[in-house]
Amino acid sequence: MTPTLVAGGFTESEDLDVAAQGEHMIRLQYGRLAPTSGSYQVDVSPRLRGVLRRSEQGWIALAPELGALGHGDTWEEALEQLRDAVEQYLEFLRDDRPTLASAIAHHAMFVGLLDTPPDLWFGSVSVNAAALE
Amino acid sequence: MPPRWNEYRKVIGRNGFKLVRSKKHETWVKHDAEGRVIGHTSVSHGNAQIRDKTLFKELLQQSKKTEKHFYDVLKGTTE
Repeated sequence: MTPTLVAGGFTESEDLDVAAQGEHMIRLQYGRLAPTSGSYQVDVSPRLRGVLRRSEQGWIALAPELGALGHGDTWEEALEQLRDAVEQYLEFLRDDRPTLASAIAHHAMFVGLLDTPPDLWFGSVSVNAAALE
Repeated sequence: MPPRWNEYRKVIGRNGFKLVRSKKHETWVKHDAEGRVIGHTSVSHGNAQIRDKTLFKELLQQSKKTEKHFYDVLKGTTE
């Protein structure tokens, strides 16, 4: 997964430059010569998708990008368990630094999530349509 | 009779998964012959029954097993 950056100035006449780039942050600078010049940062950290499914005895929560899962009596509990599973797996990747097979090499790019609050790990959480039937 | 978590541990252990973390639950990881990680799965602490069939199916998918293979490994008729 490659983060997509869409950049533009506030008006047509404004300059907009990518002034600095970190691992997950891009600093954009605009209006360098104007009195209102300044810069702002855009967070381009990869985020996970959360998928919730009803099961016989509760809920299953999945993070398809990592192949991680959680379960619980409620969808909140399933999501919390999923966060725990993701955290533990990412800590393993960060601390043990294992070599990943090519099919799951993309898992490594999510390790940076450990530096952000767990509430921000999921860019979206959707409910599988079958869960509502 | 639904499978128990210890039975799931037994099957994945026999299929090359190793326990790498044990905090709120257990994280088991499988490596290939070259030492590269090829999969991981989460295991609950304790030995409760896995009564939820959907959960069991998802676990089989995580560990890349079929239900038949799972029970064959438990019976000892295959690795």
